[in-house]
Amino acid sequence: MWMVPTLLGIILIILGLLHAAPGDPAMMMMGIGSGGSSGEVSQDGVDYQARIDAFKKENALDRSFLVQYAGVLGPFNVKPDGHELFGGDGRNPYGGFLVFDFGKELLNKNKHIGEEIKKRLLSTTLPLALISIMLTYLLALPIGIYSANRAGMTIDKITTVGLFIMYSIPVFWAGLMLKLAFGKTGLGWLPVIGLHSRDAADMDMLPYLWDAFKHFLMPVTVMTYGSLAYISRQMRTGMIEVIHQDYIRTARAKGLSEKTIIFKHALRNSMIPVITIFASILPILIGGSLVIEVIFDLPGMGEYMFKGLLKRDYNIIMATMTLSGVMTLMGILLSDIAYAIVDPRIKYS
Amino acid sequence: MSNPHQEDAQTHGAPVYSKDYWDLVFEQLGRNGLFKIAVVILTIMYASAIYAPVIANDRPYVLEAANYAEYNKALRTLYPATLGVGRIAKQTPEEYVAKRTQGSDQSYQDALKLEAGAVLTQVADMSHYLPAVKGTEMDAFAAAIKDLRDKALSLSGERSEVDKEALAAAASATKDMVKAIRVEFKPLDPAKPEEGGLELVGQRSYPIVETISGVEMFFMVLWLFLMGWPLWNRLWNKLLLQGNRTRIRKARPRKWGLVLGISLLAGISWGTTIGGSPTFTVAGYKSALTSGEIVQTLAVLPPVPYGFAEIHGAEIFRPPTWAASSEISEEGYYVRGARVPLKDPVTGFLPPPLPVEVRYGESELNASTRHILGTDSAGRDFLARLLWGGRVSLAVGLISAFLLVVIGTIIGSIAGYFGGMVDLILSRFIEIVLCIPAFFLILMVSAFIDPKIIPPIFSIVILIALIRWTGVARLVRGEFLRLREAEFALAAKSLGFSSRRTIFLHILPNAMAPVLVAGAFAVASGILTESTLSYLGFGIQRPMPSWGSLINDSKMAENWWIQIFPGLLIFITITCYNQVGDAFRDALDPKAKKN
Repeated sequence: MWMVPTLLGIILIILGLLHAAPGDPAMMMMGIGSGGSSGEVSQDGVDYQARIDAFKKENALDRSFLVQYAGVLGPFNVKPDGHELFGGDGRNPYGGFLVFDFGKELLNKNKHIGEEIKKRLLSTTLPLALISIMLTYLLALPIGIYSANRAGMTIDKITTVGLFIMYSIPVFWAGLMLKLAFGKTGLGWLPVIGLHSRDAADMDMLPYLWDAFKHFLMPVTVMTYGSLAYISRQMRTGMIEVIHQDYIRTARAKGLSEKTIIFKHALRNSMIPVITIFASILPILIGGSLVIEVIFDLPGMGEYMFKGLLKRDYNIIMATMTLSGVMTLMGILLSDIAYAIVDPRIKYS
Repeated sequence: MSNPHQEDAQTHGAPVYSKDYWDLVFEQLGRNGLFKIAVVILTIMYASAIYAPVIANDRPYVLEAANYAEYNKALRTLYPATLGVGRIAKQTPEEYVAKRTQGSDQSYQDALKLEAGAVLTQVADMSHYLPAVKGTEMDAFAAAIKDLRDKALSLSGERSEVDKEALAAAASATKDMVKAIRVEFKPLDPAKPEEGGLELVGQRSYPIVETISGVEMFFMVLWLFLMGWPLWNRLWNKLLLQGNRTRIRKARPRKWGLVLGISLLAGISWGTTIGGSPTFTVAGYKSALTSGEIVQTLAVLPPVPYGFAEIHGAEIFRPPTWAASSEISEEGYYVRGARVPLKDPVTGFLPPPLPVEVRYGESELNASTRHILGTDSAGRDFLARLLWGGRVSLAVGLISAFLLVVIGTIIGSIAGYFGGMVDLILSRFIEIVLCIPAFFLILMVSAFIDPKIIPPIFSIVILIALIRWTGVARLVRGEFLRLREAEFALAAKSLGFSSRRTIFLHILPNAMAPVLVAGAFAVASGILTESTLSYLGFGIQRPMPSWGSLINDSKMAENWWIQIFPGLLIFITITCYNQVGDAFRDALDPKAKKN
């Protein structure tokens, strides 16, 4: 239940920050900028102030902050064509996130933002994120365990430093470097933009999958390496901590094999910190997906948000920002559930 | 309780002091090899950023030169200006008012003063470069002009015939003088010295030093102090404090105060005297030197003789000059690779060549040192831009981290100390903020900030601090919850100290260790955020360079140097800061097990 007020708070903060930013959003959206021609008829005979006012009225930007907040939330539409309760003419009484109406793009009134986001999430962002998270955990746990069991040895030191350096590589630079190395100017092994080749629709099953694999390889790598390095380090620390516990010493004293000790006695307990981290890396992962989608030109939600930012499209930004908050909340929920599974002492009421 | 160390000290005479927390921390840090490497690299990075004006600049360190262009201009304007003074002086004020240009309401006195002032300025401009002998002639001329002006001004009322004649005579005398000057003082043409003429005397100036501002000087001195810390600190401890740990401990704040004080003093005194006011200005020193507009007897350029905004129009996106593909022929065509010009298939003509202008002090056209890291979209030297760009990137990282630590510490300590409702509200707020990807928030707001209202460099710093403080606040809150019930905090409370005093003087110093660690990581993430923002085009805007915006200069894979080098610097800096943060964490946490 805590998710509902949190979500309300998220939307409040996003809207509040948009309002607090110096610079008139209406003017920024119309690409006019401050100063100069505003407030009077400019030299080329265009009455900018009148245009701005009309734009504000049409998008309910002239209403008070609370009314705008209510409009974003729903279920009532507060725009001029909205519900009578908010002074509209009642043509289009309902809207807002509550009724899953994310509005339309400002520059393209035929495009529903909700549908566009759904398409982009399902085709690109979610598969990318899921593959990346699965890969991260599949690789990070063995690396961490391996490293912890050889703590202090040369191989452990090399792994630690290597992971540390990997963790520090800027995501966008890693993407650019991979493109340089494996794209046409380098080895020429991998395609550098998009999700599929142009003729992918005519391909058979196997070539199609191979094509998709080649297109996904670099983005997934870039999305994975950072959290992989981070989680491996945490796994190693957690494992080392657990190995020094009394019950492991007892298990060793009983003469159990090293395999049994690690996988039966130590693993589950050492995974607790790694699983709670999941919630905190998720915002970083989602934030990074924007850069990755922009670099590799993938039609995902992050790229959509980037386009919205370039066009200063209020509606796209509100929708994608809120959705990224929702995704983070989901992540937190998931990690709570996983936590309960790994550690049976925790019970949810 | 008897302390074995104390007994030991008493019996042996030599004092033995227990190590305090910071002694242990420094000892621990000193044993960490990777930490030391990271600190050295960061020191070099900051040096290159702080001293960028001295390392990469299109101005010379020292220049002893005669500005022939300025001299010639002064000489040309001297003649008409002198005639002007004479003409006005010969008129009576009434005549002047009757004859002056329509619409002008300049009084006789003003007009005369203005015209005479113009002559004197030209005389002063020329006198800079004149040999001493000629200088006296010039002084005589200036005196004559002043004389004429004063005489005419004193006779502003009725004028007798005698006065008029005297004025006319004086005016014609100045005219004769300026005619003579026009011939005798003609400088030689530096391109054709055999034609003869007056050789001008060079003037010495220090163009780079004069442009360094007080703030820059502050950081330059500060860096020197910090760089030399291991050396002078050891000397001070050994010689002045005799290795006495108690005294060393007490001297710590004094040392910091001295370092900051001296740097501040240097910065302020520099800013108020020399800083930022060049005496000898030329629009572009190097082009003036190349074209012979100014002729130098001494000109020393920095090791990277390019300014961060100096444009070479013919060298756009030139690869690093050690690469084979960068070779350009004398006419200005690329010799190898994809950029060799092709003949137009229809007309059979080559595209017009773009000959490269090799300016004074620069390496030869195809020397490998010409542009070691290539050039950017306007032919600006990339190494110079990287050096200057480091200033923005590193400053943004440091300042934003400092601000967010301050905000986070204040809010976190309030939440942790007071608890109850305050804590509940603040904690919920922090949790909500943490749910939105911080990078998205920063990106979103920076897209809506009008760069004309707040310059991007400030807005980025403020945004990072305003959105990222939550992590630090959480840490500090946790520490406060733990320390609130500790004996020393209870003692402070029961002594009746105010909340502010208890928080800031008693609890906070004990809660700062994790904050320091978070601060080091915050610098890294600040640099990363700034560079990512600038890469996406929402951060620092051209022509101001920052490492991120430099990568944004070209998205084409052919221009690989644009993408590799700035990213490499970002990567190295972030790695070092993360290493420093890691080392701090290990050193500050006495509970951490070494493994």
